Amino acid sequence: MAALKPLLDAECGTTNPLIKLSQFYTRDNTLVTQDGLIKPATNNFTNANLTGGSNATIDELVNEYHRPIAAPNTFHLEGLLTGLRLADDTIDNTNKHEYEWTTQFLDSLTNDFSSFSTNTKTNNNFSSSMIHPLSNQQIQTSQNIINDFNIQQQQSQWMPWNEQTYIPSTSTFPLNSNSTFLDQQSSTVDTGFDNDTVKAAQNIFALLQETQFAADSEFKDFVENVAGGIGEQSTVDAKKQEATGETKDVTVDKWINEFSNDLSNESEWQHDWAADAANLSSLDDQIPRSQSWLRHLMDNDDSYSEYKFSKTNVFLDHSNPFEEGLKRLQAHDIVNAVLLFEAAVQKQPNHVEAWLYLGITQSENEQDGPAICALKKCVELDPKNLQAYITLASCYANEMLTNEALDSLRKWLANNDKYSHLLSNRRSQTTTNEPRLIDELVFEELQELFLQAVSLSTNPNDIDSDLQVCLGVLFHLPGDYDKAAECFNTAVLAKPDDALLWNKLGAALANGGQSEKAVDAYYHALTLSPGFVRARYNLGISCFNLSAYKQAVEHFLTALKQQSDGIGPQGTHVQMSENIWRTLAIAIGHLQRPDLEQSVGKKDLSKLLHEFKIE
Amino acid sequence: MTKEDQNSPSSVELKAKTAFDEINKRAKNQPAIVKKIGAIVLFDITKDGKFQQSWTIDGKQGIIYEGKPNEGATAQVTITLDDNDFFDLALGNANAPALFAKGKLKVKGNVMLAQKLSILFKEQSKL
Repeated sequence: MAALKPLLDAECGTTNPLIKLSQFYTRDNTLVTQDGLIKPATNNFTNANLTGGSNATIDELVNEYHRPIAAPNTFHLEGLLTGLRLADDTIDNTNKHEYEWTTQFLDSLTNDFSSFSTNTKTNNNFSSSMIHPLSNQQIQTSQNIINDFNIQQQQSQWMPWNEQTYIPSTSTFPLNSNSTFLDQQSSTVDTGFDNDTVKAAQNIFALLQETQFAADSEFKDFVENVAGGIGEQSTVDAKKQEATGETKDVTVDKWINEFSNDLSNESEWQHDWAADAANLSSLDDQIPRSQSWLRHLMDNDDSYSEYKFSKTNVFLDHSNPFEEGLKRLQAHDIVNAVLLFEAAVQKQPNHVEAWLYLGITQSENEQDGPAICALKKCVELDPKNLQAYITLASCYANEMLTNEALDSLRKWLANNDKYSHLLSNRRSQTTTNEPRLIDELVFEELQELFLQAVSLSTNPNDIDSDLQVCLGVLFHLPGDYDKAAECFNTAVLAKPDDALLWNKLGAALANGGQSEKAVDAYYHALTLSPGFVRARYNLGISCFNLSAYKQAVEHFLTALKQQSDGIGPQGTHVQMSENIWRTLAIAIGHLQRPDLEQSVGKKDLSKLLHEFKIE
Repeated sequence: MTKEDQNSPSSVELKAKTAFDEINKRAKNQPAIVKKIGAIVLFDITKDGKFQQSWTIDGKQGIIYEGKPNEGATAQVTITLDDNDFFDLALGNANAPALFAKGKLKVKGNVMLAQKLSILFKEQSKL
């Protein structure tokens, strides 16, 4: 517990590291604007580095930040961000980038011709001459060509040129025509290609003609078509091409593979990016931001749309379930509180607070699925409910739904009177309803915003613990567990009696590998709230990570017992957490007790409880 | 035994193989877990700087297999790292961002997708 003394002692005058951090942001703007992100590699924000705070000279600080960091050569985020900032300004700008790629491609073809035709390994030559399309080189403006590539002007911000322009003829790909996108597409994707595009295609085709390399490629066929002004066929293909993400990937991938098997870092990154962006060009409301987003929408729409109530609920006839639920919550009887809130919303489906509390308690009950359902209902009824957004963000983070988590965080910020002005101050950004490109961009942007929010508070003792939690969840998403733990730590300093905060701190520590400290944090949480199922589950996990398998099993079993106790007589309709059973199974596996493994498989809780002597 | 045989990938013992077998076992226990990743991730395992073998985690189909992505599938993230480092990662003894910061892990593609892999390697503590 000694480790926690600094956490618990309220020392006057000590500044918390995050305030120091925010001072850097107000003072040293170059770090933020230069590359727009805090590189995870820097690790500059640990306490160790912020020695002295105000005592460190400006030089030292500057040197600290500007020391050469081995930036991964797969990322050209500077260029990317700059390019995208340009892109954000006008739609046309986006196509300038794509067009630039095309011209460079043409240039490289002219340069590397002989090697292309003779060298079977064309990749090497090709990739070496490719310049990253998003570098800050002069962007050529040939409006006509841009507009042609930009078939859907207002819809998508990113015109995935490699989808629109290089669509092969139908015969070569198995196309799946089942898609709701098709209908949406038909109205806009009907323009043929006008003169300039045709001319460009003719150029490309001429170049290709001179090489044997592209002899049989679909690309060549397509270009031939375009050059011949056969716009119609291409658009038909475009429609079908919209069909499935997989098909799109095949197309793009095949095309790119034909030119370079071993793509350079830049081109592959761009390809991935463009492939993601390819999903944006649909008119459908459910515009996916990236493929995983789409998939989640399609998969999770079912799991998170309707709340599945407990089949047997002894509290359904209770006169005032909501009030009673709050009481039980106060008494840390989480499981019964869940049932009471369920009864409350079944009685009054518009009761915002009941949905909110149902969500919060289900999450404490280690049931993120139902929690998300309930919270979504809550924000449906009350779109400004900050607590719901913050809880949603944590739940989504647990479920690895990064985009959704970022979205919830953004909504928290947008609806928070203290900080919403930060969003409007920014250059006109996309609103939350418009599709965004990649997780990373949103993440960078949110990071900036939240840090700005932190810096707004000039008094180091005035900590907005909710803001710290948001920041902590944000850092948790890309795996910056140390930073996340610092944020939760700060939050806990402000609210040392909040069991939820202690649990978050523990989780961030545990995920970052600091299992012992995590255990300490969980004990804090459980002391404050003994019925906190999630904290107990987490404690079990940390014991497991420390190889204390028997203890882990005991904790899991206790958690399961708490869950099953809440539902009156032991029946078959007990709503226990799948996560806990699963992890229990793994832990028991380590105990070398095949007899017990059977019991776990059958979910024979009473037998297991008996075996481990848990009352 | 010719020199070529000794150096061919199949003859090199990779810890990664054991790790992937474990991961597959865990995945069988929890069928939805691979799908949670939602993306197709390609692992290029190296040893002593030389490429050895690939494994694909297909988060769309929910399967994990040896080799590059099958026909029709494109990896959205490619991760390159040494066999030993991968083993640490899989055991949960190292985490991807830390390895990345040290330059031991290289990522092509969406890094945040790569982060989701941690659910395969160890039990995630819940916020």
